[in-house]
Amino acid sequence: MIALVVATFAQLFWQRELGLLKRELLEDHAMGEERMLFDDLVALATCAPLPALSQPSPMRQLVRVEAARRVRLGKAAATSDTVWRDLLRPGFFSLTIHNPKPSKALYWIEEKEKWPGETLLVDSPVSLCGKLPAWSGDEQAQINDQLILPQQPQTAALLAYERAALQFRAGKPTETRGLAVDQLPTHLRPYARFLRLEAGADPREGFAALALELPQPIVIDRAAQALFEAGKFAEVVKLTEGKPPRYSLWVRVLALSRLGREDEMLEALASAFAMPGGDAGNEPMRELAVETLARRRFDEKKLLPFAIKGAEEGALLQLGQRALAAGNVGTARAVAQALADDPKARNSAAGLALQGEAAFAAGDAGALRDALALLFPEGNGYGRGAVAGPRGPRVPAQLRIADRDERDHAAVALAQALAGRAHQRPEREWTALLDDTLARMRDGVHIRYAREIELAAEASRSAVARNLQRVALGEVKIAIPPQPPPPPKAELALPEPFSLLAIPDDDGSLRSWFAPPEVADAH
Amino acid sequence: MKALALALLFSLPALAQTRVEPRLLIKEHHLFASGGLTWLERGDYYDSPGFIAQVSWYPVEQGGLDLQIVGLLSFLSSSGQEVFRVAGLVPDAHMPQGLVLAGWRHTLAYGKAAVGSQVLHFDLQGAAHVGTLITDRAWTPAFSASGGVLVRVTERFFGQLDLGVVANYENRQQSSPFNFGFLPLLTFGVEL
Repeated sequence: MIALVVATFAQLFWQRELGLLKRELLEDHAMGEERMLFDDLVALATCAPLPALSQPSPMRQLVRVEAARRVRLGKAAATSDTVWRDLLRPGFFSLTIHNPKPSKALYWIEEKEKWPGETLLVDSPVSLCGKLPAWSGDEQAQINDQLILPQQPQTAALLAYERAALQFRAGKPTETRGLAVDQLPTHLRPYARFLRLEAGADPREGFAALALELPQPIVIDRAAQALFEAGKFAEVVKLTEGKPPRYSLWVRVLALSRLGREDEMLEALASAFAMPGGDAGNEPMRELAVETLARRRFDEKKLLPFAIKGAEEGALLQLGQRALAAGNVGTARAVAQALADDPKARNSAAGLALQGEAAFAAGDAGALRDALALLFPEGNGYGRGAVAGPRGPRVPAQLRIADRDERDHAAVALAQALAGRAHQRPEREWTALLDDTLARMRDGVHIRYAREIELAAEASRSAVARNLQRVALGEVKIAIPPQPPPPPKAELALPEPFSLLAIPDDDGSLRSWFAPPEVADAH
Repeated sequence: MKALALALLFSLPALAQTRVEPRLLIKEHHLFASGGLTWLERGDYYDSPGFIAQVSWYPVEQGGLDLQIVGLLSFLSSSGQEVFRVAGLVPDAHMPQGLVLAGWRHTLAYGKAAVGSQVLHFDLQGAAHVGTLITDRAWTPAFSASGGVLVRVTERFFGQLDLGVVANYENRQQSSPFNFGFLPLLTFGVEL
């Protein structure tokens, strides 16, 4: 008998005859579970408030979850790929009631006993779907294991997906219990795999395969990261071809670096720096670029993509120093010349200092003297504070009195650099030249810098002090493999399950909604 | 059984609590003609079985005009015959011979009853009549009030049971001139 009644309810529901269904529900006084379920479905379809459940009822709870989802989706529900696209479309359900109106009618007060020939008079269902309901219900709190686990496999998987998606969107730890990918509609499976991978429920290597199926930025980022961590550098390079997201580009850079493909690496670095995004964590990437360029012939254009805007000279100086450290004196001298030719006093002074250091490294005593001569011009002597007159004509690499402070800073840096390199030129004539040079610089700078140059001079004569000086100057390289910047926050637009419902069909089986799954998938 | 459920004739209740069905026992603009048996019991030493012909015309569903013609076959009851045999006395009451009454019949309620596999629709009615009680001595003024049930048997045939009280005024030598009697009526008829 119950099965027969349910079949009637189900038939009318699937025929979209909500008015007739309402009559049948009112005719049924058994108030069984199935009856209450269809009662809830009528309320859902008319956006009427749903009463709280007095006892656990998984299928009726699903109706409440679906109602809460509508509140979460808000106005977008009407155009979402969910059941609400249908439910909020006027006319999807027929709300018409056909009450008989005989000319000679008898009206009986409703009672439980049924009599032949009598028809219950029913008010037409009124849809409240035109406005957003004030009530909501916590969708996330409702989808718990108690609700998920008793459901049929497909429904359970959908609910588990919905729970994980809600948690992911809220930035909370994602629960994947019951998230059986194979039980989901086809269009949700890649996203479910992502959620499982993101939650650590599946091995991270799975990101690589998923990236082919779901080439979303975050998936590519995660895949690149996982492959890099696994040492699969060639696969990283292959994965990140084309126009990958920025983080993936960083990883590609590191992979190319490990593979020794410097040209491609520099190209990827330039692309990554050109992309919009913050600078946080990018310094190792910048260092990597400078380190690489420092081993190459100087080409200022290739440096520019990696320089911080407005601080290009700093990058240039860094390149020169790295080139010197790498033994690429040619590039260092070219960089020094470029800096020395800069009209800004600070850059010009730094360039001259670098020229001096490069000359010392190259064993070019004449060039060292030239650099010193430009830092401390003859004629004005090496008298303390004497440089070119303030109104004198400016020539490249010539400093004015107003630039003295910049010059003195550069002189101190040069003194320290030379002291650090003193061990490279142990010959007597070089030792004498170094002592003479340091003394001339000490005498030429303002008195407040003289002490630093004296210390450098002392360090040049002491092996222990010299080593300490080298560490202080950053010349002793500590090998730390460059790491990519911090991975981006996981963001992925997760599609909604089309339906969270489980509704009895005429034959007693359960259906989620009117459209069969494959049609829902197409959405 | 849904015995004596009240039909709400004058107003519609809230729809969600109401059932509707076509009225089967329709009286409005219909003539109900019937005939049957009756018995007038006045406690006057006469037994008065009789027959009745009754015609009702309903201008509205709630009520109609009613005409009753009753023929009574009165005779002395056994106790009256015993008194006459012993004392030679006869009752001073008139011997009823017939009734002619006209009045108004009003529907009080509509009901239906499950009888076996059938559902019988019926009207509960009240009626009031005036007319004359014909006796062996005179035509006396009479008044009756009754309550009864009109039962639809088939689409055309019906049965009717009335339980009434009849009052009349007649001249008597010893007892009160005001007399009251009980008048049950059972008729069967056709609806035209």
